[in-house]
Amino acid sequence: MKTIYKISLFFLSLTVLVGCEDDLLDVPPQDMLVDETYWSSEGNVKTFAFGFYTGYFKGYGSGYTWGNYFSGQTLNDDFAPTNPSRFALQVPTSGGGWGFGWVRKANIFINRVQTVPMEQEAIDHWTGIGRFFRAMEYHDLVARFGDVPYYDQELSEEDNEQLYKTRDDRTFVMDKVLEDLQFAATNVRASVDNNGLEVNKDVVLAFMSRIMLYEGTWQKYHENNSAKASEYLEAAKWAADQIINSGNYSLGNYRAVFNSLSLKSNPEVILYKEYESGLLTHALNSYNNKEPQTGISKNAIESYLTEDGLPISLSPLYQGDQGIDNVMANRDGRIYETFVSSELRINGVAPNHSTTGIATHKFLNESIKDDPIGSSNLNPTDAPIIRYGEVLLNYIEAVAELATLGGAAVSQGDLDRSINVLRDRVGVNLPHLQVLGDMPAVGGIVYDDPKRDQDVPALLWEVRRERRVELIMEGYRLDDLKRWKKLAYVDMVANPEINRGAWIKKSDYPESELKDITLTDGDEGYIIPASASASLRVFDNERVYLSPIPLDQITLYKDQGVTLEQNPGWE
Amino acid sequence: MESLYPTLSFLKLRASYGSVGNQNTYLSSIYRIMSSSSSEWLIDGNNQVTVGTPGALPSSLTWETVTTLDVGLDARFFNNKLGMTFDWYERTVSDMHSSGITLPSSFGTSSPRRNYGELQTKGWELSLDYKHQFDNDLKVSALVTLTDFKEKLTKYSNTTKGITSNYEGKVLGEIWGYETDRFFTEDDFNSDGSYANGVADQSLFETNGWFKYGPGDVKFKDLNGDGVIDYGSRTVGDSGDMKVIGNSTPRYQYGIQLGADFKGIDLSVFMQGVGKRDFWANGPVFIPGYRYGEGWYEHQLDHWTPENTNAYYPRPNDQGQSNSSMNFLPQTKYLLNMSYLRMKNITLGYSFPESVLNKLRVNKLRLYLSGENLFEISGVQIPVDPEVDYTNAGTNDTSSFGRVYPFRRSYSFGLQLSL
Repeated sequence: MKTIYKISLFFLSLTVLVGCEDDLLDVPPQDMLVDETYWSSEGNVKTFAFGFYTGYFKGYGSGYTWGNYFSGQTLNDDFAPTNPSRFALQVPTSGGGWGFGWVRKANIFINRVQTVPMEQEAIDHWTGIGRFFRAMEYHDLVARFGDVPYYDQELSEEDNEQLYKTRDDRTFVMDKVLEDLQFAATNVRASVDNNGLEVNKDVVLAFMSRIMLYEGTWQKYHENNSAKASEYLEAAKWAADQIINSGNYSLGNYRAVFNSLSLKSNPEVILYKEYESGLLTHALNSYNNKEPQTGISKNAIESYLTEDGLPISLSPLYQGDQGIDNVMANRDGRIYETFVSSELRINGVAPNHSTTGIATHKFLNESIKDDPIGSSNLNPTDAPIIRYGEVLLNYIEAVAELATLGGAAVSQGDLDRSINVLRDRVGVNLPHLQVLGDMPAVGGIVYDDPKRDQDVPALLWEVRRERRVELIMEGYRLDDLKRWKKLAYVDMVANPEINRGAWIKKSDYPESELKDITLTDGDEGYIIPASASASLRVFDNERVYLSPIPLDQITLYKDQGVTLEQNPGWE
Repeated sequence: MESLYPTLSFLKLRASYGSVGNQNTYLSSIYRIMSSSSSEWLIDGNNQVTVGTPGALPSSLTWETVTTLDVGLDARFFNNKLGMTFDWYERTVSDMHSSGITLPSSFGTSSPRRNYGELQTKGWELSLDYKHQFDNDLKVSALVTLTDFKEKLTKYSNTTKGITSNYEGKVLGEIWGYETDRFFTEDDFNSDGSYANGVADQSLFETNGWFKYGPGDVKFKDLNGDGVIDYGSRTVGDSGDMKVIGNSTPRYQYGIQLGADFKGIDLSVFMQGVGKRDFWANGPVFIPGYRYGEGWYEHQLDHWTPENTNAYYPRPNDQGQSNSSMNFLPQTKYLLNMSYLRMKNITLGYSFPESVLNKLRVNKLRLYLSGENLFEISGVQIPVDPEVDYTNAGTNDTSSFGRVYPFRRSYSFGLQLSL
């Protein structure tokens, strides 16, 4: 019995008297990646950075989504759906896009990169990548909500001062965004392992031109702040200019940017998203192929110039809009690469009909259209993320807007290195745009589109037209209208032309097939895609330029005695 | 004490109490784990791997504590022939790792876990065994076990007390629903389709634009008597006409083993079962008309028609793949009673006597007949096995309920020979 006591006393004393050092017991799991041990090499840094890509570079999406391309964005004046999407009417109780997860991700990334064992050049490059994505996120937040709290580091759960920080002025935030972009433009490598598929200096510059153009024009049209407008527009112009001067890019075939099986060697694409059968595929090609689709509006079709470079209402070459052959006669070459010009596809007649009769094939690869990979969600065509064509348009718009803010007037040289490059593209077949005085001209003759919005100077009107046509269905239009303060264009009651399709005659078709079609003048006229007047979208409240802050956030702030202000008109 | 012998031949009282840190916690509550995944960003046909953003590290998280109190009694009676073991236990998990305080979205990730909440499990286990040998060599034995437990959240940080969420006082597995009254009849409605006077209004559940309650549809009981069938704010204390109608945790699990041996003939019987278990299922086997245009099972044909008002199922309807709307809101009438008694095994054997064995020069020779899962007695209202669940193949695939392979009945006959 005694030995048993002795033995148990020995073991008891072991547990009581012999302690362990803390860090011996506190070992992070060895079979998992944890923050404490992850940041050990540049390879790991790069791996983490890919986590940003799908958040910002959606391309054609995957499965049955397609990002903002094609009918991914129908709230604009390009698309004429039968059931138009409308502006938000209610303040969401939660969510609503008010999230700072991506900001946190970028801040953690920037913070961790500083202590990774690698060359200073590498630290600077990856810091630039982190700041680039932080700028992207803050641009998105500001574009959506206006003023937002700005954070440049990860928050602690106990830091109430930061957690319940009030909204910073959008200009303050966008100054930070500009700083981030400038840092990125200076420090991100000009060439990376896979140019075109990874963020390099050109990608930063291209997005910088887009973001700064957005904010510059917003400051001009919404905030009436010419100083900030000029500053941001100069930044947009500078960034675009860097890319143009680099000579790294040129224009190839227009449609090939959107329907190629591989964009690897496309001279125009600055960043693209790779798709591959069996790994990652999308459905956008299919919805330009054998599926019914949302059609282009009459208003958008009419914004295409005729091949003499003149608006349709001024050109003798315009053949009117009765019949697809007439609509498509003698136009800007891009119309043929964007739309099916050989036939109308009417609801009830064609299985792959368009709501307006005019079908889009911009995203269709003709060589796979009858293959399995051409249908359903199996499409392997690559998606452009950002391309040279947009940079040229960002450049000329920044220049034209700067001219209205006391900057240098738009010169012929500015046009020749931007819009006229687009017009020289193979297949576009348009004469150069000229500037005479401050007016647009072709062939030495000044013109002024009678359909011009009188608020917009004639030359800027042509710049905006070029942008609309070149970038059509790429998901930019709504943002453009917002920053120009022109959401009124999407009001379907005030602008019936955006709710009109092709002109047809019922007698040209067997009557039974057209029972779902409403025309403007009974038996003939323009197709009215959204025929129920209750379904028409109206723009009757300026508040929709900014989204509402979700209610739960306002309440949470209030519980702490802080006011999180709601956006105007949403209170 | 001597005087009790041999009626009480053995008695032991046991009690234990202990507390230990719960090792069964999520590592992600303690470490900033960065799980890897495919980024869906391809480079030359390779899906690039990426890692997730590390979560927030809690500033003051400590161990969950599991405290167990167990009181037991072992006793044997009548010269050890009858034995009993009884245990009562209470297991408390305290300082549970539960959701953190609500932080604004500016935090950028979900708030870290904190120690709050308490889960209490109370249960008991009883087993009885009996062995007897009669003078004529007949030996019999029996073993009965019965266990039960109940889990309850005794502390939880949830001030709103939503009935579908965790809240203080919640019994795990509880099912909230309505009490079924009967089928609606013509008389319950006015000629314009509105509810007749004195009939509780159920229009709150007519949410899809095409379904309107009418004759042959399920009428729920207006428990709070306000003339409307509703769910209040779906919180404890304001749940309208909803109440706890059952619990999906198996209660009173038992097993019975009987044996007998007489002159080489042996018989053993094993039964097993659950005394009480409720289940609100999903899928087309459970809900007639689950999917528009799909065939109906035979047991579903007893549905309401103007001629058959006494049917089991309501008027045929497209349930729109839902087990929580229209006629199939969770309710008492169709709540499945999953209690059962299953005959797991019966074995009858005969061992040849020594005289035969010696002749054959073998050590043992036994013939037996055995049956597995021979039958079950169950209260379940539809033809499914009371132990079925959804298939694993499509986890959470609601259409798979009842479509799994049932337990196999098997009969075997054998010969045991040892040389």
